[in-house]
Amino acid sequence: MLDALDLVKSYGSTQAVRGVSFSVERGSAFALLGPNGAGKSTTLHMLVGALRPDGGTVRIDGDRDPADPQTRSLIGICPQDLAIYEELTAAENLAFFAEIQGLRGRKLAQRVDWGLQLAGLEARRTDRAEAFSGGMKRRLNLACAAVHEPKLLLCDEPTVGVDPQSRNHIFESIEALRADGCTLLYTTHYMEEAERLCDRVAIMDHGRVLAIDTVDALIDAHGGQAVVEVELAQAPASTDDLPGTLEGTTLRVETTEPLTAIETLGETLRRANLSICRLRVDRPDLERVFLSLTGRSLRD
Amino acid sequence: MRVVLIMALKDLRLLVRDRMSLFWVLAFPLLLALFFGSLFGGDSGERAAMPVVVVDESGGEGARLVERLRSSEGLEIDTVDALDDALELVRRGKRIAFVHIRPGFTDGGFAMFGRDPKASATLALGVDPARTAERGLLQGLVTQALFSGMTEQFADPSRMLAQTQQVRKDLDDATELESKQRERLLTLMDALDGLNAADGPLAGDRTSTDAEASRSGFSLEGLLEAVDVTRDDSGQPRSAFDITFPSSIVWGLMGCATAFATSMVHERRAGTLLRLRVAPIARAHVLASKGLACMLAGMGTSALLLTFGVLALGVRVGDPLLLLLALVCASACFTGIMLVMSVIGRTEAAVSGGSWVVMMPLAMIGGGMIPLIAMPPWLLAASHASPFRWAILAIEGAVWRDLSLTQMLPSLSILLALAVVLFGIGVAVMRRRDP
Ligand SMILES: Nc1ncnc2c1ncn2[C@@H]1O[C@H](COP(=O)(O)OP(=O)(O)OP(=O)(O)O)[C@@H](O)[C@H]1O
Ligand SMILES: [Mg+2]
Repeated sequence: MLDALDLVKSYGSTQAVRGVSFSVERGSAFALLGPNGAGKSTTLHMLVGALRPDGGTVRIDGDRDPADPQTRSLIGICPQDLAIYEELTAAENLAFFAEIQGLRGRKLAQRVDWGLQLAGLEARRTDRAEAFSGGMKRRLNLACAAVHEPKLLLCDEPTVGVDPQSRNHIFESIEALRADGCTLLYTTHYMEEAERLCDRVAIMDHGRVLAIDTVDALIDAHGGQAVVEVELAQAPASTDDLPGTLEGTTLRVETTEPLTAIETLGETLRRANLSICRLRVDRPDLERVFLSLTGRSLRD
Repeated sequence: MRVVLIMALKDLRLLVRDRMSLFWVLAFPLLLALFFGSLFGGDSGERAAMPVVVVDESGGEGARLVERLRSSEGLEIDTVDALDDALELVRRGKRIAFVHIRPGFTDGGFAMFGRDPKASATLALGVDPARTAERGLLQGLVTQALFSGMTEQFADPSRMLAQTQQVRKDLDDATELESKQRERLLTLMDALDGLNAADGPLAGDRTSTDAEASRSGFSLEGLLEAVDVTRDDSGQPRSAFDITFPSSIVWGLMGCATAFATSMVHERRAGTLLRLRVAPIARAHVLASKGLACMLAGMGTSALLLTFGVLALGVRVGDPLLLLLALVCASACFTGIMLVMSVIGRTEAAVSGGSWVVMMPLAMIGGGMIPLIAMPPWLLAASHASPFRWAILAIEGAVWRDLSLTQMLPSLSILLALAVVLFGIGVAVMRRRDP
């Protein structure tokens, strides 16, 4: 559905994107996961033809050029900034963005109702957007992107700054759109969002894609082992029999089989007559993948 | 094309719902028009003496009347030789009235006695029909000047005697007078002669006599003729509002330009422009829709301001078709200004701040504050550099200057040329910045 090949973009001396390539299968969901300034938005703008790349090509739906208006009607974009008109009502915003896509008449009215429902704003349809909460605006922002039934939906951090409730609403909306067969490209710096919504993830940093794969494959390849962490009640007299590493009273054991590790650890501690106050198991996740790829954490 | 219209209508809707923009687009220009209109209007009570022009064709007999009119406090008198010149001055609104002292005029109050009532009046007053409020006062002042001539005669026994003798002679000639009336007048003359001989000069306190005389209820019929004057307003403002409304319209256009430039920058920053560009719309369409909306808003603003001016303040539009043409050209020019502002400014604040910094001086020198017709020559020369000047000239041309299409062509074509050049600059900068 979408192919990006070797995209490059600089702003003055800032190299925002330095050779990004990936492809998104029809009907799948793809995440660009990266910290602030990684080049996610810049990449997205090049994908939709709003920004001309310094180098590289974008192909949509086979070999169509996003600069061509016909191709663009397949695309819906949910910009990172709130791209709605504050002085227009919820219904007017939806109607406007549907009309400029060529919808009219009954179809237009239907899609406006659909959009209001998607955003959960049926009761607020005649209220101006300026009167909405941040979360409501975000939901409307997403509905405006999908109101014309695009085949490819690009969401640029659609949950920035919203409360957990609205965030959940947005996730459910996106899952519903996916169920309808919409192809999704999603940028975020929340690994849980990428994990929950997307089949494949590209990890981006400093304008480069560091790894692309399914979430499981990425974790297998770069996530390392699970960590069993035990807080001991008192410092042990001797560390000879203990597995893993000990820092003060905290014992860390890396393992591919956490359950077995806990069993053996339990026996060892009982023999050494040590009691524990806390036990924690950390499964590897995308955060750890990012950490191992860049040496930094996703969010500072 | 449909999509251009949809986008333009959306922009107009946004404008109408934004109070701040509405203030600059409508309220501010209207306030300016009202404020300067009433400031320059001079319709307030304490105006200076009324300018009146006098034509004296009496061959010297009227000289004393002219002097008395001159010394009258409420009047500012000048004289011309030909009646036509005087009439023209009033018709063009340059004087409030003319006083015509006709051949055969005799000074002094007794002129009214024994006159042939069918003979035409020897004194005429023509008042600007637009100054009905001042008409009564003027008549009063002229009458007062006339009567104080009589008072002077009372003050001079020999002149008085000569007058009563003249009246007696006139009465003998006036065959059509009823004998009773003739008798009464002769008795009055006798009494006056007696009074004159016994007590010497009658005039005591001059000013009080003047006032008495003008209030004494002598019939002026036949003596002072009111002459009809039709105003000829072509090519000149009828009131200060004729001048302030065209410039307020240009302020409104300027408000529209700023509002749309700001909205364009806002769309760029907020991301709605990204949405528009991802929609299947050519970039030219987005530009065209902004331009169209700005033009329509400009025309709408002009229509509202003018309607108010016409209905409430008597502004009269000379040629509606030419006005439409002028408004189209002026709106186009300010749409070009809008486009340039929108590509130069990076933030909304920069655009609205920049528009004040750049446009205020242009408005000042271009007639936005000081009317073009009141400008000193150096400022008038400088005004050529301001789009305000050309827009105001074009609108004034159709409102009160009564210019023909040919006469308006220079300002109209300058406006259109500016529009084209500014549009070109705007598009070029936009292309270069964001290919
Ligand atoms: N219009 C611009 N002009 C100059 N530099 C820009 C511009 N837009 C982005 N950049 C720079 O390009 C780099 C990538 O920015 P981009 O917005 O693509 O990152 P991002 O991954 O979307 O970040 P975030 O998560 O904060 O949205 C950053 O260093 C940014 O400063
Ligand atoms: Mg971004």
